[in-house]
Amino acid sequence: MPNMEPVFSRRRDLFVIAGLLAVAAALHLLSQAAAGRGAELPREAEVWHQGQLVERIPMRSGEERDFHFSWNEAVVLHRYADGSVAFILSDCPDQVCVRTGRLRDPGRFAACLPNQVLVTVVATTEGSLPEVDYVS
Amino acid sequence: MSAESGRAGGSDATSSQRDRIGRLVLVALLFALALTLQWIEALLPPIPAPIPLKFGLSNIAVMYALFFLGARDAYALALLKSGYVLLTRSVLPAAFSLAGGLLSVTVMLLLHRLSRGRVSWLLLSVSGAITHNLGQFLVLRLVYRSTSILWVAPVLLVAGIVAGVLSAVLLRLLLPALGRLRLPWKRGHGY
Repeated sequence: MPNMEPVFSRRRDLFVIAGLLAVAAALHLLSQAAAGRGAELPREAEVWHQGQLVERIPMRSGEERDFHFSWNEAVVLHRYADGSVAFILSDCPDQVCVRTGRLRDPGRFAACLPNQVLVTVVATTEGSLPEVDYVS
Repeated sequence: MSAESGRAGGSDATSSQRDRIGRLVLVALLFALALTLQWIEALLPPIPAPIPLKFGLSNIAVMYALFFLGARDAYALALLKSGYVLLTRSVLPAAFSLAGGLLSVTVMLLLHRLSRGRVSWLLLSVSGAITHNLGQFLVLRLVYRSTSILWVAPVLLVAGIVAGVLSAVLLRLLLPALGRLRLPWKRGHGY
């Protein structure tokens, strides 16, 4: 390997970084388009705990309520009137999960890593799921 | 063997031992620097993202090791950082740190070698930060299979670019201070 002097930056770096930003913008648009396509499908929020799928919350409109879980009482989810779901309470220090906000479209997710809980929205073709009372 | 060559051999052995100790001390200092930067970063607000992303300031120490000591020491620092996370937090954050750290060092190293040194520090740093985020996401994907990369990829890319530029600039600012740590065993730069 030639012993070339290290260079902090080159003019072409700007083009590479601009290219990466363009790729990020394109991926964002693609993600929005994919979310738009799944908007009409019935959805549910899958709740994962320690790598296992533990609950499924139907994302129906008009039925606002909280979801508490017996396996981790430090985490509370809320389903809003428009069917979206969000972490509203967690005892984690960074509060990344709560700040992620409402999840509505398929593919969106929020993670609470300190509590090892992840919520992800998936489209379902099984129609409307029955409501289950999660140790609420 | 003459007495003179024996003395020369002994001197070489002592010098080699001194170099090894010097290198060990420097890696320990860089590890301490990485932990201090991690602590400072914990005081900053996190990057808005659906998964915990940080600026990765402690990667400055890993980058310095890669640029000025060599790949072996950079990998050693990445392993030490993950070991510290395992001791102070839990397995999942340690797996995040390990995957991100190893992938990041490997990609920076490959980029440098394949380009024959033509990639700048800034781009190496940006690529390291992006792949650090990617490595962390891959662990998340492994544990929680239903996560989609499409939504989070733009965030990973943009956060990686910001973190990479920030790390490269900070490393450049820190270089005069780090340069005062003499590296007698090293001629030229690392990788």
